[in-house]
Amino acid sequence: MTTVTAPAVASRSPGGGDIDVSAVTKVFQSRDGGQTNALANTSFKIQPGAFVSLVGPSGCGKSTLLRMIAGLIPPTRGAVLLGGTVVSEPSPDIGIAFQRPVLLPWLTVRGNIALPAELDGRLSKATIAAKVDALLEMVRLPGSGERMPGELSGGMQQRVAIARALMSDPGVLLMDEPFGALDAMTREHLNDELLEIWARDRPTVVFVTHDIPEAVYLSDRVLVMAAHPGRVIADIAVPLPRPRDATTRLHPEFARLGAEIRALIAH
Amino acid sequence: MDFSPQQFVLAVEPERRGAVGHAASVFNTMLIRLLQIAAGLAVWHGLVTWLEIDSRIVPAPWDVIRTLYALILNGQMQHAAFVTLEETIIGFLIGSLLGIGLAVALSELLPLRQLLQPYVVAIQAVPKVAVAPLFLIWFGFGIESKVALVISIMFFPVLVNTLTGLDSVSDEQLELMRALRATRWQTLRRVKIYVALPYLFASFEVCLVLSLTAAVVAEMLGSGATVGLGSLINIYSARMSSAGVFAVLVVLSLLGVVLHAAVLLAARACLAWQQVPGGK
Repeated sequence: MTTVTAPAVASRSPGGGDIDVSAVTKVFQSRDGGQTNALANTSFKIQPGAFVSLVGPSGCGKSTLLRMIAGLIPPTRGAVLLGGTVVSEPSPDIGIAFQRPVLLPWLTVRGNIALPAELDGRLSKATIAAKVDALLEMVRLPGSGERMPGELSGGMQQRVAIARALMSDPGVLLMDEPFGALDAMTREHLNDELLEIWARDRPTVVFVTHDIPEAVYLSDRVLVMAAHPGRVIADIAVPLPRPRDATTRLHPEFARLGAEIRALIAH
Repeated sequence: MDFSPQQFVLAVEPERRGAVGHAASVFNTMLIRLLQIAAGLAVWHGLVTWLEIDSRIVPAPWDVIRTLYALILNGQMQHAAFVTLEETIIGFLIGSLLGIGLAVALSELLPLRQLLQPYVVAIQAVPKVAVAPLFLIWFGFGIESKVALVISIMFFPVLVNTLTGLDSVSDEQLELMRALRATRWQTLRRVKIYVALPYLFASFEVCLVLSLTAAVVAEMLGSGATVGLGSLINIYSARMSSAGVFAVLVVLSLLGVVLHAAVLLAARACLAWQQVPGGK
């Protein structure tokens, strides 16, 4: 599969975007000396530009796996490779959106979105401002740049968080149940917006969720995980046509895949 | 009828909606305050004349006002107030900066924190006023010994509060900054400082008025050429002039109110983002 590269992501480093999780194990040491196998000997590859979801019950290590891909925690054994290089620390080629928006309440929406570029310090003020405007447009919040995060609804806050994750034009977008706390309507809206953004720039997306229909709706592939120890038990391809919309949910294949994944998790 | 405290407050509290209503309520509040002060003075005057209290023990309000006026006319009161205010503000600034500086150092350098924590706890427990005579010995009868006492009053609450504030940064915020590859300095300057700001202002609110007290106490314990409000109190109490002492107290109370209001205004300006609903 080839990466469809839009002009907006021309700054992406060549070869970036493919993820190789290679025999990764994560053991957490608890305070009483016990050990938890958060993830046991897990391997998979993700092609550049693919949209892959991780689903599974709580405690299956899906968030842990995401944090290891992000370089936020090191694996106990094995390695995560990003574009052929071992991930040892957070990379500028990765954008991440967490379960909660984690916006800084003392910065405006604009300030929050610009934060990654300001920390990086390489772009000029004018370039940053132009990018923030484009991102505000993209996440459908034009004109909200000067508002404070506390004035926004949960859905709007999460849009800002996604815009912030996209600020560095990342080749990889990691999302940890970003819409988990939102109501069903808002969530469906944001799913469609996310697919639009993805279709435009085609970053590799790893999307953690516990919502099976959401995973099927969004993804090219769904990796089904199980707990005790955390591991990937199935790799389900989703051949549903794109672009996806309301009719996708009526597709017989949509229901069949959902049922298949649910059965796998129930076991 | 059941009068719970809350209902009572609701009944007294003026309507706050709308700009016109707001202006009117501010005017009402001011009017009520003035009436309160006038009523207080009237009761004071009534009690003093009715009970025939010796003016050397409790002066009548008129005596105090006259003394205050005379002291303002000859410039003594302004000069003394300026001296005390100078000691308070210099001490406040130095004490706060030292407290903030050490708090940042302790929060960033864990070994230093473990090393110094017991000393901080032990020194903090010493009543600072008890150290004032030592400051006189060390720094003399000038402004330095007063500033030193104010610093010692400010330093520990600012240190402890700022440290608590810096520690209250959430794991989520730290993880975000790590994912964005922020340096330690960037995390401190762009996140931790803001998180600590409300704690810092809380310590200012409590301590600025306390540091005014400290300046006055230090002056009362001993001052040479510089005559502050505390020195004036000494002078008038030695002369058995209660009216003079009361006049100084009025000025001190005004200074305290103004300093407190200044802190609240600064806090409101610096913490505007907290007033946003949902901003914390």
